[in-house]
Amino acid sequence: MPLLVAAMLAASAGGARADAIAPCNAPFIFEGPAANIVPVEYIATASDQESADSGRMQQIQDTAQHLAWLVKLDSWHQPTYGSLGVVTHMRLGRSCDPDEVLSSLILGDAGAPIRAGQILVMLQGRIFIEGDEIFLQSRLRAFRRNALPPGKAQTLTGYFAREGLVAPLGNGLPALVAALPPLDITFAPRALTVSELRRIDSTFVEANVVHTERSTSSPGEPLRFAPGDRQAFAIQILDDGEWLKLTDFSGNTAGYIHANPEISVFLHQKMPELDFLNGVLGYLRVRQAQSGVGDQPPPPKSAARQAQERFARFMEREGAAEDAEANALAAALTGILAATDGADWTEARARFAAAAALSPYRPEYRSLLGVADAQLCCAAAPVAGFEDPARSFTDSLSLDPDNLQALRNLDAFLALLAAARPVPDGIDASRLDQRREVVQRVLSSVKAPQDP
Amino acid sequence: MTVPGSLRRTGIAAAAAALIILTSAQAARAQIDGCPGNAGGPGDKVVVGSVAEVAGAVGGRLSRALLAAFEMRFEKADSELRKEAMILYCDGRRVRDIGSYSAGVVDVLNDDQVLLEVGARADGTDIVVTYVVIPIRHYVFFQDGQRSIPGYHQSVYEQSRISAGLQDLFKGNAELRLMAALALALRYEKIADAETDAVRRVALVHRSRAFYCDAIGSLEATRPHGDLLGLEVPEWEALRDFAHAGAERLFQKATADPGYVSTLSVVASERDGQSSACVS
Repeated sequence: MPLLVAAMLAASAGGARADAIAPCNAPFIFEGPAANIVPVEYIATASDQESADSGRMQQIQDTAQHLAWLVKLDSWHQPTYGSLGVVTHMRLGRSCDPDEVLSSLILGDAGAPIRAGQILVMLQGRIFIEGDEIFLQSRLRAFRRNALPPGKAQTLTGYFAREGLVAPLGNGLPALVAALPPLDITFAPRALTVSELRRIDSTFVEANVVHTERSTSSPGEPLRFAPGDRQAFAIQILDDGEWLKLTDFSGNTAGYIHANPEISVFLHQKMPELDFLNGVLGYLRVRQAQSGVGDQPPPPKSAARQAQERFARFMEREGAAEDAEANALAAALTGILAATDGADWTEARARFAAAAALSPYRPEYRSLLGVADAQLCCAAAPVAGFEDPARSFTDSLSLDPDNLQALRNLDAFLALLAAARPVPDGIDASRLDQRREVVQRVLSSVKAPQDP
Repeated sequence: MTVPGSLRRTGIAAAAAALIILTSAQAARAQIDGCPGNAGGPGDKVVVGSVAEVAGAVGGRLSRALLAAFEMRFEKADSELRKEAMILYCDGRRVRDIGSYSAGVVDVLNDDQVLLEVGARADGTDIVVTYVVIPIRHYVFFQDGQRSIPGYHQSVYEQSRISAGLQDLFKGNAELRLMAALALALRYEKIADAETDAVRRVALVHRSRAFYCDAIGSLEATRPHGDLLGLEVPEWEALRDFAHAGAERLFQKATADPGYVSTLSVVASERDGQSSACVS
């Protein structure tokens, strides 16, 4: 596969990225980049697959491919975080089961498996069309590959690195640990019209003109969607992202595209998950560099800020009532970036509190809030704005009584309190010996959970 | 309505997971009427009935949209409920009126580990989406005789509201999650009650409590807004009360029994016995 080899070489170079299309039954990602985005062609709903006539199915598939094309072009104008491949997986006449695509990518059935530390962000979904109305529902799964060799985990998620927060308490005490919910989210259905899709397409055609030189006044040809088209590109990022040097692997197209994030505004209004996707990509790149797993190049220094901006935009566009879970996860991810990239625990606490307010019954956000409160109140000199961490750890335990990490956090925090002189205002240190005795009695009696 | 292979595979995987979770996995049971041939096996299930009747009453456009909206709701609920149950699309089955879900019928469905039966029917020009929460109807309505919560709940979608645009059909995903969480909570509670091994019993009590709390977390998103879409107020209030009572009951079960140690004892200690609520 000479084209793919070329793409991999291009993608592994600094400031470069690669873009390809693969059939669903032969999935691959680029081996070189630190991260790959894998949009999978959205599939028709079950009833359409069973009963729609061929004309209707063709309309659905053409629209799904058109969307996949637009998502690909959109990614060119978003932050790339330094090293990125995009491989759109299409049906191309065959079935397209995203779970099978993901499994093949992890295990390397049809290409090199995901390397330790490498990031994969998969976007899949369902599409329904009725008259002029198009309904989409997207599912996003994102992870960093852990170091477990292929074939060693019992489930696919066993290959995902754990996402969350570890915060040392000092004084020889165990660090506080809070996990995130899985980065696997199904968004609320979106509605757009056929005419809105045409409007988005026309914006992208106008903006994605391949110029002969790095000048918008130079001659150029627009890139256009064609159903069934398999165009793949190597792209070099120039001038700090202002220009993209594009080479079509088929040799038909080469030149320069002027990057312009503004062209994505309307598409992202209709599909806010594309902002979420870019935010998750940035989050994972920052965490990848912090983890030390793998040999991927570090992201640019602006990565955390860019990811936070994307999450903020997602939360502005997404109706909180309609999709509280997605908003809560975006807030929590923003908070972790604040804590780990800038050590800004005040900001982190505000984000975790927002996540807990949006999704009050997710134990993970209570634990994150407790960790931030413990940092603010008690890890060093108290910083205003905290609440009692024990309350959040207890809430986490109340929501999920099997959450032994919350129990361990509570134990560590109470131990810290026992040694603290004076106890900060606002922290309940009453009955401390009795409370610690209860916690330790339970801890000693429960079976240690198996780490995933 | 049938389901493509990909969805069936998801269901099969979920069933396998349920087998591991449920230590008291039951032997394969009889075929569920109107469902695919492999639907009678072990594992918790959500049964989706045919909406062919709706198509006849409200037309192809609305019925196609209704099916698509159903599927998207299930997709979301499925991911949020962490694949606790498999979803069976049953072409040959349709949700019936409340009188059809007699004690005998529900007993069989409960033994078949059906958590929910969901379907839609036409009511004049409106669409009525029905949820039969099998464990509630079986244990609470019939066995305990609590008439305020029949386990048969309906959401009305007035055609006048949805015919102008289909968007309203695709909004509001929380009802299904609420019903499924309540069904799972009660299912695990009953398994816990029958469990004699103390360690396994604690685990089941914890799991049940977590699902009651999850259901409480879904209440706000299903609260009736008087817009002629979704649950009616008395039904919502009954479900709300049931969820809160369940969470409280499980907390008391966990903390009142001196025979075993539960992490919920820590919650009781930290709150100095003042609250058993899911969140303070």
